[in-house]
Amino acid sequence: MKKENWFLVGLVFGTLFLLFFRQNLGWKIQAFFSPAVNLQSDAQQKLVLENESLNAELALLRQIKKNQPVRNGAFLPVFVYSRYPFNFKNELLVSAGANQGVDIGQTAVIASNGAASSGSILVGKVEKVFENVSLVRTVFDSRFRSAVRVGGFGTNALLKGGGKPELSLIPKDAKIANGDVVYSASPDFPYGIAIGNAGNVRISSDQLFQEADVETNYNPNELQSIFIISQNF
Amino acid sequence: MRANKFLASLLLLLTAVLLQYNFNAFLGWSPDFVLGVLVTFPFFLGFIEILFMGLAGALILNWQPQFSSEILMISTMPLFVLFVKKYFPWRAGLSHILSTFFMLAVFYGISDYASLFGNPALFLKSAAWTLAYGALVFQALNYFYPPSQRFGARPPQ
Repeated sequence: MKKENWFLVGLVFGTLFLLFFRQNLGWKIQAFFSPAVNLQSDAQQKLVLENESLNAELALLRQIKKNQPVRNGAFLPVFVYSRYPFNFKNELLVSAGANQGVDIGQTAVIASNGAASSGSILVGKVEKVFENVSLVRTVFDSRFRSAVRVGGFGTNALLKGGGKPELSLIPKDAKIANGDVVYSASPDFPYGIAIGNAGNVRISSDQLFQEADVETNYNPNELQSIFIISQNF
Repeated sequence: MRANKFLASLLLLLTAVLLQYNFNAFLGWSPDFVLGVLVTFPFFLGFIEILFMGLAGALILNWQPQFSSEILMISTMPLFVLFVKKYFPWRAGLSHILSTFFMLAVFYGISDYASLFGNPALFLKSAAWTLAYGALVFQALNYFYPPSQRFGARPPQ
């Protein structure tokens, strides 16, 4: 066998070893090739996100009863290692797993003002847990489904994930408008966490319901750290 | 010559990775440049080179600690094309385009069947860009490293 073939065989075995036992090298290469976050727009984005979460809190306070339980969860900050690289799903790999107390079904959020406990934006849910890393399925995953409420009147809707998340099954006579806040209402997540704003409100193709797009004010491809809520409410 | 072709192919793979992640970051979606380039390589490289390129692509694209069906497909699709291309009755350029589209359809059909049919516009948009980029890479490699045999052509009498 020629020397160059032996060299290639060595490369193949080396790559196999890295693929099975040192996947973090691939994640570092991904981070190297991904564009850097723009710091100037980061501050602006924080303000927009803070505004969004404050709207959600306002909608929540208008609708719920006086003895709402106080949120007391533990927020675990984690780094985002890697993203699903293809088009139809959106998953994040984060830097905490079973050893750090992460469990399947826990909520992933981003902090709107630097302190996750006072204002958060829902990102997704923990789907798989490994020893020191976990996979989070985000609202941009086409398989993501969750019950939500919209606006000050708390109109019920179904959030369907995807590249452009959508609201569906909104009652036809419900009064919702572009810009109304969308917040979580599913038992899978803490109640009242902001998700985004309703936009492009329209009648569905079957004329039975209303539909809307969900506009989020963050770029999921630029997330570098999020929080996992590690206690149930 | 072989070393040059290998290094050029490796650079093309890394360029595809760079493009794919930047498209995703700025547009929220990305054509599958890496898959397009990997399906181009069987028309120019040998078995071991293609095996390495497929594994390298899988290593860079892998987003989780376990081996998934998507990563398995990324690693093995170039080898599949290498073995079936000899049965294509068309010229290499057309074989390349058809095999790229077919591999993309199979990839998304297996990894997320429901979303493929739920959002065919995104798939077709991604496929168009991937085919265009793959064709560009094919023509570049064909110009600098013409294949020793043209597939589908009959030898002169």
